[in-house]
Amino acid sequence: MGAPLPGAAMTANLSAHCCLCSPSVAKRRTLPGRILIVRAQSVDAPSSGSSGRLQSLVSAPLKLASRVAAAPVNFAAAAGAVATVCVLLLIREFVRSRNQVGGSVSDLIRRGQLRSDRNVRPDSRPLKYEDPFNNPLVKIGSKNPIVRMCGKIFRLTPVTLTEEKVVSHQNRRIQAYHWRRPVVFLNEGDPVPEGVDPEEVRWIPSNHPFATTQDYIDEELAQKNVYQTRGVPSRVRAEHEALRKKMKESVQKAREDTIQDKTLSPPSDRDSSGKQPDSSVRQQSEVK
Amino acid sequence: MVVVATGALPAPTGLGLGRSSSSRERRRTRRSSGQIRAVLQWNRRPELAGSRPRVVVVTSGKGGVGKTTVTANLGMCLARLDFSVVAIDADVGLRNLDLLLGLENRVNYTAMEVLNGECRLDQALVRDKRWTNLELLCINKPRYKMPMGFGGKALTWLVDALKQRPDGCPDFILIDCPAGIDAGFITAITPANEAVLVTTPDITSLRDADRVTGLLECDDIKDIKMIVNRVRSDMIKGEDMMSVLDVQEMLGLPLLGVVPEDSEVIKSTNRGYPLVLKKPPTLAGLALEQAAWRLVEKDSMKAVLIEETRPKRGFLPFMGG
Repeated sequence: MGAPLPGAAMTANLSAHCCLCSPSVAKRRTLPGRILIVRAQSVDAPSSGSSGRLQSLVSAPLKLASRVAAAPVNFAAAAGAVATVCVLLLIREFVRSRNQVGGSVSDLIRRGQLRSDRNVRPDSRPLKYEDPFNNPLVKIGSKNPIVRMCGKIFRLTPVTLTEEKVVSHQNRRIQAYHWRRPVVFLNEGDPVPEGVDPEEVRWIPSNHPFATTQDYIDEELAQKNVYQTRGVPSRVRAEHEALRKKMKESVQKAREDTIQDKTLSPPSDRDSSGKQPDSSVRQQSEVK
Repeated sequence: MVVVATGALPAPTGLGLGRSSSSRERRRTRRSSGQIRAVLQWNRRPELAGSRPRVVVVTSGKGGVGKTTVTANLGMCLARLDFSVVAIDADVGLRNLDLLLGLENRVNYTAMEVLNGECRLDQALVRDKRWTNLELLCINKPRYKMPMGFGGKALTWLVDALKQRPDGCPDFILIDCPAGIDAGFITAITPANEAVLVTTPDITSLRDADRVTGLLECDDIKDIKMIVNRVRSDMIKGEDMMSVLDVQEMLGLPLLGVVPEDSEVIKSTNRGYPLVLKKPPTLAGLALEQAAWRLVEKDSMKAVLIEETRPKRGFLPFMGG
């Protein structure tokens, strides 16, 4: 009937579009080399044979559309659905806007690219605290002291500790535990210096590993190291200086070695340019 | 009977358990069905009581009661509340605080390197990337013998240097104390002004906690508050475990918080993700957040929560079954 068909792909597309048609039409194969010409025809037109099948192929979706159009529309349900979707979208936008306070620099802080404690823009970080006492997950009863939390029910009971009880416990502990912070550390057998409270002395037994400890650490230097806020740390600086000094010494020593080598080397070795030795010198050597 | 943490309630509940009046509030109350109401508050922050910095030592005496867990979670809560926090792990040689915070791969320098002059103090501080207000300082074991009593001096210098640093004085310095009452304990409590005592409701822990409290009071640390950790409601109900009120009767210390036993603690330790960051919050996380809030405001618990068993519904409830 016309130009040849592209092939099976076209056939597959046609069958997909004919999903509303009868199965026999969907399964039908078009012969290769044939074009399928579809003509719109009224639904009530009598169909006979192949033309009837073509007509049913076209009219079925039209019939469905007309049935849908004829069905009564529940406007209330549709309006409710649309309103719900709009409310959800609004809520999402509201929450998003509450979370995003400040410009895009706050995103940099949030992503960890910028330090948040630079105090450059004090309003860039939103103040949002979840109150653990009045958390929405914690529901408090108004009439009876019932608390609902994480799926469990609790009852509030006031604490019974009074100030008198606290004081009595403190007095009990003062009498039970006598302890003073040790100020002086002495080895066993050492005399207690004058003016030192014996209760502030900590005695180190002779078999203690610290009994023969010498002070390996310089306390003043340690304190200085702790309070240093900028610059190279002291030990690193000392190591750098030691290394620099060592390199200087090695360079100097290498220079001295080369100078010494030059002074100690014999004269013949010096005429490396190819010059003949002096004739007077040759005569002297021949005489000898 | 089970005890779970809560703080004092807002005044409208009529229980006479008022909160500290210094905090500002913006409230919106939503009335739900029945007599239960959920009070929503937002943009509310606790007001710092006392002078900066507040140097708090977290100690217990007995090991394994949850000092490091409490330190990590309190520090994270305080950082979330926009306070600058420096957490110092004073457990020389057995440090764990970096593991709980998930910062173990970033600890390059410790306080020993600072003392030796191998790095500066700001280079030894590890800043948490989740909340940059929180910094961690670890202390390694020295390679050489140090004179007795030097540890306390060194820690005092460190705290003093943190106060004077150019970045600003931190609001809180939390010191994770090692177990025991020997040199490590004495070192850790040296620079502290106040203490948080962590204990569990068993007799061994209570005895050690009492001893430690006595030593702290002898060392002029009077502001001591207690956190009761690992509370099991089922065992308290079966009278196999002391209740929180019994613990308080024995020690005579104000309550900062009550933390129930929770398997999420172990999971958070393994992940290096503090429990208080978990959403939705667990009971233990909520309890630690409340404890952090009370720590900031120098408040203590006025009431404890005792779990009520739900009445079991029978097959025919309307028939009373």
